[in-house]
Amino acid sequence: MKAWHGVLDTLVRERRSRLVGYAYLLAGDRPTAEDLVHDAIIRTFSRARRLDDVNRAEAYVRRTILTQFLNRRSSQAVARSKQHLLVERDAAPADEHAGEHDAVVLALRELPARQRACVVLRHVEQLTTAETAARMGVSEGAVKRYLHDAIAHMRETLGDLGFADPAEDRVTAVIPRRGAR
Amino acid sequence: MTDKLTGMLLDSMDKESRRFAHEHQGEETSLYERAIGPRRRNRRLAQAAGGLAAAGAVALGSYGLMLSHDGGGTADPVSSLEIEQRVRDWDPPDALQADGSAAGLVETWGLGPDEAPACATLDGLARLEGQSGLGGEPVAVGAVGSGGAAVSGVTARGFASAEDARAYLAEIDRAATGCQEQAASSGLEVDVKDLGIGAVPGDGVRVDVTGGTTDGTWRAWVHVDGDEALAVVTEPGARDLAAQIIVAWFTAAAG
Repeated sequence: MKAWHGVLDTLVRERRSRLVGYAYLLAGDRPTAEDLVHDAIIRTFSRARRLDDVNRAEAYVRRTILTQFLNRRSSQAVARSKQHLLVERDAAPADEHAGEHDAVVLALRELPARQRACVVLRHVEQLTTAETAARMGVSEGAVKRYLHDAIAHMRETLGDLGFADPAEDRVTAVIPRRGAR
Repeated sequence: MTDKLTGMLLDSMDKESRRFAHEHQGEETSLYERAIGPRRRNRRLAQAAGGLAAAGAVALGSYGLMLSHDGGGTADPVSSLEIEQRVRDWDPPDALQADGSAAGLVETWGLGPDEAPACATLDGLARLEGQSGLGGEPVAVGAVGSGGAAVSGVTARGFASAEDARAYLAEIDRAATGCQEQAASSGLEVDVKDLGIGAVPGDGVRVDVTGGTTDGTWRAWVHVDGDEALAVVTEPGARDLAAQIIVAWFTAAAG
């Protein structure tokens, strides 16, 4: 058995449900979230050459989920057309409307995709503004604008969110390895 | 950052994760393997075909001599094919001019050929040129930037091995250190840093050149992940997109 088989097995058994939760915050509904994850796992394991570590694989899958979400490549129609290849569902199909009572997900769903992605990257992945900008391929200024607008909207919906400055920087994106000379 | 919003988001994510885990308790890895296996096989076949094509090109003399540094084998043509594919597939952070490039160090600072030979060497290394014994060939990806302003030139290269890619980084490091000494008499400051980027695996070297009669910074940032390298040369006055370009490139490699 090649290394990727073992990593895939670990990822599917131990990490996939967490990835679905992550995708759910981005997508705002269960079918799209599950499709994003299935598609991202297949894309990652079909393409990547160095998949000998489950943490690295999970990070790749997360990035692919985000890219697919932002590129709108994972429309429900496209993803459902592939579904017969992926999952034989023993359980009843996911309830598209379940979870809609969740106020924070409802509030997220009202945001444009890039604002939503910024909120998830900053507040769930705990990335800095610079890291968020790099991950999304936009400027740091754009990230700050997206976050400002997103948090303002979410405050209207959810009330006090418990912090003052959503665009505050923590650390820089680059990591010196051996120092400057 | 811990705050009420983070708590709410993590709570929703956790609930959804548990709901999914509860509904999917069976063995599903084999379903993914069935979908992934044929794709990986097809990919390997395509790469093998590319390898044969590259070998033919070597025989015709148009692909250059690509011996590993111990002289015992050829460079990895698979990486070159993947890079060519990625040039078409990746999503740069700004407009990409496919036939564009960035001004080199010698050109930017008007250095004479004998004035600072290490800087001329660094110039070539920043475009992933030379050191053919380490395998692969530089592939010009293009210039990233818009509005007719200064740009970032991007080059990729697949080396024979991860060890060869790291050896190339060491060559850049050495050339930059030499350039630092030789260019000082021209009033240039050369700053060399070993940098990684949090969002992608791998290591890199960043060289910043400032001073003289030119405003701004000329920057070369070479990042390697395994046997693959990406070099971004940013002209003085260009928007600093190097880190974003590196992340976009290596993220495309993963997904």
